[in-house]
Amino acid sequence: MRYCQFYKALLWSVCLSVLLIGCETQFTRQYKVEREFYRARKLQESVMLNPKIADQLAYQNAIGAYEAILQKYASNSYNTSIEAVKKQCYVAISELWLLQSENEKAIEVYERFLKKYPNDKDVGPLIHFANARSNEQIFNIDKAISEYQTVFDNHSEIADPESPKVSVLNLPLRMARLERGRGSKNQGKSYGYYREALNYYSSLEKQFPGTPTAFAAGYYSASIYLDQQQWQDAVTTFSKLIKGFPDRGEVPQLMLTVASLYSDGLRDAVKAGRIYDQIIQKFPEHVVEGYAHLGKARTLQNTKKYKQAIEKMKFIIDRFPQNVTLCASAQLSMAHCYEEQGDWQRALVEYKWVYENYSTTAQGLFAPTYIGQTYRERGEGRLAKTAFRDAVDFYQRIIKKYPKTTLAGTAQEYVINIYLIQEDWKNAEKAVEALETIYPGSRSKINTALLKGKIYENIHSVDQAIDVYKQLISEFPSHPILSEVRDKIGSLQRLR
Amino acid sequence: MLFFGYALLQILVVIALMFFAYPPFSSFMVPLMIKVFGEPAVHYPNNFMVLPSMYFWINLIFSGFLGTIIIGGATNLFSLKYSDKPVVLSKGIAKVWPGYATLLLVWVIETAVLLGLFEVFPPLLNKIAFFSNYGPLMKQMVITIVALVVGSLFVYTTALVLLERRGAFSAIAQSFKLFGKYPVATVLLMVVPNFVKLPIDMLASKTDFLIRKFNPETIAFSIILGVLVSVFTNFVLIGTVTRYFMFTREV
Repeated sequence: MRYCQFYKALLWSVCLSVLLIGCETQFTRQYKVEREFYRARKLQESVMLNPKIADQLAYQNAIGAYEAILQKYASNSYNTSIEAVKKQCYVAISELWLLQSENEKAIEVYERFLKKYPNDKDVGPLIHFANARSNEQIFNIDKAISEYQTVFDNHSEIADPESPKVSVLNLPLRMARLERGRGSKNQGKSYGYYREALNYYSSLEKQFPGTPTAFAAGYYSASIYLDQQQWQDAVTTFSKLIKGFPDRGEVPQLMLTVASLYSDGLRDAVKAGRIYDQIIQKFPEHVVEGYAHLGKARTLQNTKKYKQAIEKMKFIIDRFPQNVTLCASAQLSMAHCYEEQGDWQRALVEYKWVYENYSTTAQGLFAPTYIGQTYRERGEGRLAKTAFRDAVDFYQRIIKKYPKTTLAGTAQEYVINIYLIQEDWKNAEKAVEALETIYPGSRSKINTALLKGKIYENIHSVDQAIDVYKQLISEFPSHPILSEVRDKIGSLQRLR
Repeated sequence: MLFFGYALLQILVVIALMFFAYPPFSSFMVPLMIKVFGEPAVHYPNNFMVLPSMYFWINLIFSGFLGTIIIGGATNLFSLKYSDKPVVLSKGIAKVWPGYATLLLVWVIETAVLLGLFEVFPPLLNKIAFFSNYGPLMKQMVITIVALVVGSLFVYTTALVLLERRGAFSAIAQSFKLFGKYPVATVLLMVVPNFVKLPIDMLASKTDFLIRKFNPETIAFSIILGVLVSVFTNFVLIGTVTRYFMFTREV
C-alpha cells in the first residue's frame, strides 16, 4: 500500500513536470533557438562537406531550417543571445546562396538584415561588406561602391596602427578599381577616386611612419601607380617599402615585382637581371627563388639569348618540380624560345609537353589552342584542323574530370573560341549554351550572352542577337559593358 | 520491481537533465550548471557534453543513499527465495534499515577507493608507452577491468552486513578474505554481467563522437539504455552473488 502511494506521488510529479515543461521562460526560448540553430548548422555542414557536388535538396533543407528560425522568432527579442543567433542565420543563409552562385538571392538576404538591424555593430559591417562584394559580382557597381563607402566611413578609424584592418584599409583602392572597371567613359571619375585614395594612403604613411599601417598604405599607393601604368612611380614606392621595412615577409615578393616592372614595364633588362640575381642570392630557399630564375630566363629570352634562356628553363623544371605553375611557365617559355629560333618541330614537342604534363594550369590550357592557331596563321589548314580537334578533345577531358570548376569553365571558353576561329557557328552556339551548365555563375552568364550575340550576328540572325543583348541588359543593368551592348543593339536595329 | 523503480528514478534524472532549460528544472538546474561547469554549459549542445558527467555525480549520490537500500533489499529477497521462504517486498526492505548506516559506511569506503583509483590510475597508464600507442579505448578498457576487479573485493559486503549482521570493517575484511579464497569465481560474478553493460557505458562516454555522428540527444538516450540494461545486470549480479555467498557459507 505504501509503495502504491509512492508510485502515485511519482506519477503526479512526472505529470506536473511535463505540464511545466510546456511553459516557456526567456531562457527556455533562448535554448530552443540555440537547438534549432544547431540543427540548421548540421544541415549546412552536410552541404559544406563538398558544396560543389551537394544536391539542391541539401541546400534547400539548410536554408529552410535557417529561414524557419527567422520566421518563428521574427519579433525583436530583448535577449541578446537570441538576436545573435538570428543574425548568424542571416549570414549562413547568404553563404548558402553564394555557394550556389545565387548572388541576387544573397543580396536579398543582406537587404533584409540591413532593414531589420540598420545600425548593427556586430555583424553589420560584415553584411555591408558582403553585400558590396555580391553586388560587385553581378556588376551592380553603384550599389557595391556605396556599400564599401558605408563600411569605410564607419570603420576606417585606425585604432591600432600596429595591426590595421587590411580589409577596410584597401577599400579606397577597391572603389577606385570598381570605378575604373566601368570603362573609358568614367575615366574622369575613376581618376578622382584614385587621387582620393592616394591622398588617403599618403596621409596614413605620414601619420603612422614605420608601422604596419604605413607599410599597407605604401603597398596600396604602389598598386595605384601600377593600375595607372606609372611604372617608375610604382618602382620608387615599392623600393621605398623594401628599404623601409627590410624585415617584413613581403620583401622578397616586392623585389620580384620591382624586377618584373623593370623587365616588362620600363624595359630595363639589365636592372631587372640584377634584381633577379639579388633575390636568388638573398632568398635561396624562399618560394620566390624559382620565379626569380624564371624572370631572369625571360630577360635572357627578351634579349634573344635563347641558349642561355633554355638552359635556365630546364634548370627551373629540374630544381622546382613541385611548383607546377612555375614549371608550366618555364616549359611554355622554353617552347616559345624554340619557336622564336625557328625550330617549330622542337617547339611543338615542348608545347605538347606543357598540356600533357601541366593540364590544370593556365599554360596547359593555352597550349593546345595556340598550336592550332599557329598552324592556321602559317596557312596549314589541314594540320590546323587536326590540332583544333585534338584541342577540343583535350578540353572536354578536362571538363569531365573537373566538373563545375573555374578550370572547366575556362576549358569550355577555349572550346568556344576554337569554334569561333573556325567559323563553325553551329558548334559554337552549342558550346556557348553548355557554358552555363559547365560553370554556373555570373561571369558565364555574361560571356554566354555576349558570345551568343556574336554568333547570331555572324549568321545574320539579327532579331535573335538583339533579343540576347536586351536580355543581358535587363539581367545586368549596371554592367560596364552595357553601353557597348546598347550601341550594338542600335547598329543591329539599323540593319533590320 | 525494486530495480525497475530505481531505474525509473534514474531515467527521470536523465530526463530532468535533458530538459534542464524548461520549468520546473530551469529554476535550479541553470544556476547549478553555471556554478559547476561554467556559463557555456547551459547552451545547446554543450549541455549534452556535460550531461554524462552531471549524471555520474547525481547517480553517485543516489547510489549511496538509495542504491544501498535497493541492493540491500534485493539481497534480502534473494536470500529469502534461496531459503525457500516467502518473498515479501516490504519484509526485504524492512530488514535493510538496521544495517543501513553500516551499508552507507561501506559504500563510502568502496566509493572512495574507486574514485581514488580513477584519479591515480589513468596518469600511471599514460606513462606506459604501450597505452600511448593504442589510444584511449585500450586505456579505458584496462581501467574498467581494474575497477571491476577492485569492486569484486567489496562484492560480498552487503550480504555480510545484512545476512550475518557484521560491522563495516569486519564485512570488508571478510569480503576480502572470500575474494582471496575464491578469486576467479568472484571476479567472474562481477565481470560477466557488467560486460554486457560495458559497450553502452563506453558509447555514452564518447560525447564528441555521438554529437558528430548522430545528435546530442543520443548521449541522453545511450545513458537511458545503460540504465535499462543495468536493471538486468544488477538483478543477475545481486542474485548470483547472494547465491554464491550462501553457497560458500553452506560449504
